[in-house]
Amino acid sequence: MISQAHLILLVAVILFSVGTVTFLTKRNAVVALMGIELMLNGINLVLLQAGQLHGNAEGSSLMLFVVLVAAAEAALALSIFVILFRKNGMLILENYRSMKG
Amino acid sequence: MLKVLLWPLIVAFVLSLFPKSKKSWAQWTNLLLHLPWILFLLALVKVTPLQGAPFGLFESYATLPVFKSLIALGADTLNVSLVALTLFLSFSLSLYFIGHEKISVSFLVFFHLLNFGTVGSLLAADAFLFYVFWEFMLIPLFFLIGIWGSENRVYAALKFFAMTLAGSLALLAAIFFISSMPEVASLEWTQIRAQSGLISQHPWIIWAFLVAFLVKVPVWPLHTWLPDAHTEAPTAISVMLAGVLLKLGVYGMLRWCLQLFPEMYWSTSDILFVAGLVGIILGSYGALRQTDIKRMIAYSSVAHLGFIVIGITSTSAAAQSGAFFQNFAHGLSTGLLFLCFGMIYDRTHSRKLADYGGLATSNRFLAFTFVFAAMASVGLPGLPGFIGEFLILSGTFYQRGLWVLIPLMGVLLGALYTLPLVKGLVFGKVSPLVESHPLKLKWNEVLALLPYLVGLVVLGLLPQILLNWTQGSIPVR
Amino acid sequence: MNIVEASLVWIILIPLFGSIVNGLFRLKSPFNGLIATAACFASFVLSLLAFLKLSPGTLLVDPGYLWFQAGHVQVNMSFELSSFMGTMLLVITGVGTLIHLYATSYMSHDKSPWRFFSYLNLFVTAMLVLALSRDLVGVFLGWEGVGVCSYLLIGYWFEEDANTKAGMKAFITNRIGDLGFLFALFLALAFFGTSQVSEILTWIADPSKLAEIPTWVMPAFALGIFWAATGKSAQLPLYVWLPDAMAGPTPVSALIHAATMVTSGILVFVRLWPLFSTQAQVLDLVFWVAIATALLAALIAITQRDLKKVLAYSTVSQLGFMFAALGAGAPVAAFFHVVTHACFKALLFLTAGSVIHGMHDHKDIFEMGGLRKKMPWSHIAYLVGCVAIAGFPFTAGFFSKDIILAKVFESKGLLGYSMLLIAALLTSFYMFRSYALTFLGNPRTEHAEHAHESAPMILVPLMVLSALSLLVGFLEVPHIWWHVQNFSTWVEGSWSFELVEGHLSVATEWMLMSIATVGSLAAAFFAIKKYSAGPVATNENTAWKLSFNKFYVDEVYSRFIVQPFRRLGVALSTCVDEKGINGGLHGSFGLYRISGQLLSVFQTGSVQSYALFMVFGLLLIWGLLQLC
Repeated sequence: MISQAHLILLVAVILFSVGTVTFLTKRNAVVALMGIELMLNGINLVLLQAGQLHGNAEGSSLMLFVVLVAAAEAALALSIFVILFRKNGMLILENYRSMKG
Repeated sequence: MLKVLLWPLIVAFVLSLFPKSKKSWAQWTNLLLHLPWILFLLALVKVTPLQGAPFGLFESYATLPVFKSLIALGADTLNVSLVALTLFLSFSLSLYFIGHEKISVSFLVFFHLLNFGTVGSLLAADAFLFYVFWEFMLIPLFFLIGIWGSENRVYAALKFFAMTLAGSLALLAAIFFISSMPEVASLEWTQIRAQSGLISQHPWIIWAFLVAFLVKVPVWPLHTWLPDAHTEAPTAISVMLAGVLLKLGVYGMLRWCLQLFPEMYWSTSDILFVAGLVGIILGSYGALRQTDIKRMIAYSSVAHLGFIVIGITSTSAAAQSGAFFQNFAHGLSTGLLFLCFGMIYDRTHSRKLADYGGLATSNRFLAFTFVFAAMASVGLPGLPGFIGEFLILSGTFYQRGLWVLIPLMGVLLGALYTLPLVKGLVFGKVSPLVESHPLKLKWNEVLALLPYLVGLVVLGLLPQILLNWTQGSIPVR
Repeated sequence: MNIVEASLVWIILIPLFGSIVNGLFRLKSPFNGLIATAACFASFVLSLLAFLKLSPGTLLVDPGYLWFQAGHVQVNMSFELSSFMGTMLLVITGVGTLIHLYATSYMSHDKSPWRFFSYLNLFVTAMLVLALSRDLVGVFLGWEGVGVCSYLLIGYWFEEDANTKAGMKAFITNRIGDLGFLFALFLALAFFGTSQVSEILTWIADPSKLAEIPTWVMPAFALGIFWAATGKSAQLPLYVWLPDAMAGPTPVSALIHAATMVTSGILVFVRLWPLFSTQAQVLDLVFWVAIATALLAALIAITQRDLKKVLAYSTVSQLGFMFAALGAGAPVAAFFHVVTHACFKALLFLTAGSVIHGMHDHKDIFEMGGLRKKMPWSHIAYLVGCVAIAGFPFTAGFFSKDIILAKVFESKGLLGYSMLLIAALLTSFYMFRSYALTFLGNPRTEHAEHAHESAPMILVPLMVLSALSLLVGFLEVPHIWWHVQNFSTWVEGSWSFELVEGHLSVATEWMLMSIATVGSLAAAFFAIKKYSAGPVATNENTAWKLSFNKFYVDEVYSRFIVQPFRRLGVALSTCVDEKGINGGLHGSFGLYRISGQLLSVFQTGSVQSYALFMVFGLLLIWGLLQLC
């Protein structure tokens, strides 16, 4: 019989995998960002469950921290996207290769 | 001791406050700020014990939180004499700096950072601290060559940096290893010395130490950075390189190899001796085939340092004293050659020997000084180069017998490459290049050259001053 | 030995001050010359005062100071004067003063005579150090010092490349010789424990100590010194620099390359004579090398056209005579020839200078002729010089050469004697050849036609030297004439040991003396007869060509020693340094670059591919963890 903890972890893994695949395959930057958010949520679930297992608040507080950072990060990323879109008129990830050394 | 060490750092800081446009103010301040430094040094000389083998004077300030190391300085005549040489060269160079258009505020700042590193690695009494200063020295030097050098400066700076850094990494590894040994209480010099027998069970350590110093000396075959660095570096840095920085390698070998791990050191000495021999012969031939004056002088340094290496790898007291003495002789004579030629180069901007001729007609004082320096470099009796070489060779004969014939050839080769240099630069008809550039020296340039002449004559006729002073601190087997 | 303390250092310092004053203040003519002459003269006066304190067996010592000391090496800067060196001191400062005086006028039209006199005084200083030092290292200081002054003075007119080259050749050839000196010093310090001359001599006098050292040490020491002497005193194989040294101003040739510096090899030999006298094989070698040099140089001299070259080869040949005397075991005879040679060779050179001056710097004797009437005083002086060097009866050369020939006959037998005799006859021949071509007959060129006599300041030294050349031989007359031998007694008093004296029978001595005298008179007569009308049309046969081209010695050296030596070294250095080490270094730099380029394939710039690598990386780590 699958316990509740296992179930939650399974959901978390699925969320994380879906996020990863989304990030790796989608060409649109906004969708890729959504993939990252999914991955983060997967992680958050693990953190919550781990906190419950240990019986302390460390997991929940770390989760809150991640949510906070993710929000900030999303805000930053979206604003960058806006600028990029204004500048280039598209948000296709493959076409942005300025990080190449 | 701390004052002598920190003063160049303070000067560097003070100079960095000057705005870019106040170049000549900075040059004058730089000269004036040497005076307190000299006073500090004199005070240090006074308290340095005459026969104080290792660290007659020792000061410890703090414990570093890492690697069991201390901030500790130690002084004896072995390093204080070299600090004095550093200061001497630095002072004469700051005379030369006045009114020089290329000597900007930032150059002076880097110059003093270099001095700081040099003095620091001379005075450091803790292995890790020594390493920090040793590496720190490279940074200002890299920029001084890379920014203010001539055409090929970037290549030269990179080559120099890469080779010296590669050498010192081995040193760092060895220091880590020693610090990780539970028996070693701290990385302070005497503590390592106390466990010398234990450390000597790992013979690779001596090579790790040596490689760092051998690159710096430089001993053949690790010398190829030197001709490039010397050639591309600005005059002042060539002088400092030849005068002090190469000597740091010798100092390192004496202080951090010979004195620290005598057994291991002597087991390597035959190999080093052969490397020294090859250095003398190939260095001389290297000088012989050059057409570039600075390159020629640089190769002559390789040959001269070869003499020093065979001296410090000899068990004879005469050879060791001679080798240490030769440090100063070479510092003065080669420093003078570089400075002299630097003053010419400032005006003519050519390093090709073929472009020159007739200096004796166009500027007698420079010609005289150059010939004088060349003769000192050839090892003419009555000048210090002779005393160094004579003691080294005589000790080599004493210990190794007929092996001395090979470095004796070096004495001949010295004349073979120096005389054509003198002939091409000083004698002959006035070349078009020399004719089209007035070679009149400024007063401060004359003043910058004079201390070398005086120093050479004094050391040549009264060498016992220096020999007596340093004798006690030079280790003999 | 009776040791007396005396202050000798001022003899050395005064010319040094003269040099510094001239160098710093760049005095005008004639003050530069006069200051230099005064300095040299003051040194002469001091030398004379010191000389008067001497007697055979006394040693004047100036303790000086400790020069340097480390380990087994201890060297003092101290000076000593023995009766032997006292004589040489007078020659150096006395002849030196005359030559300075001569040069004051001779160089007065030069561009920068102050420089000349500064060098010349410095030379005198170095020569005095060489002569006076107690310690062999101090002698070496003087030895190299005179070498440098010689280098500077040969290349004095530095605008001509040839002059500078000649100076370099002199310096480097001498350096090759000096290696022998250095080696001998190392031996002395390592085995005798001292480099002080008197201590070495005491040391080797002790047979028990000699037994302790390896047997090769003493011969090696002697050979080292001899090798050095072949450099400085121009013997085979290192004599080649001396003829080229004639590029310098003529007073230099007279002072340095005839009278003083080139004899320093003999001086060191004589000082160390007790040591050399025990080395029979080395002395044998010295003898045959000397004979070969004397003959070779004389054979070259008979065909030369340059007046100074004739004199230069003559000097080489005469130095050969001195070494032959040393080789034959007669140091006093050798030193006596040093003294007489200093007088007449200085005279010959100075007269040659006067002639060249009169001829407006033309040196070719084929272009001269008939100068007897134009330059009467110079003519007399040159004639006196020739007579003296050829060894006409009662001149200086007669006495000194006679002793050498007798000693050689006595100890080396007929072969050595006859070879040296041939050299002596050739000397007479080529000297009178040059005399006849220069002064006799009729002027052959425009310049000879308009030649003029030199100034009195030039002539006075010539006259003094002429008188000396005629008279100085009477210091030591042959023992078959008079039993008192002033010079020998005086010089031998410098060593505290007895020379082995053997005398030939009276009849043999008379015979040898008459052979040499008649021979040289005949050779002189023949030369004058042949050349008084002018140069004889030379039939250019092989022998003549060989002699005229100096037996191609320079060419052979350059081709077979200098060039290969240089090329090999340069090729080796290029190969090892540039190709080997730097090549290897650049290779390793290249390796880094290539590996970097390979790795940079993964850096696509696309965010998603980076993320993909991260996933793969995670999987990899996970897999590895599973394996462990």
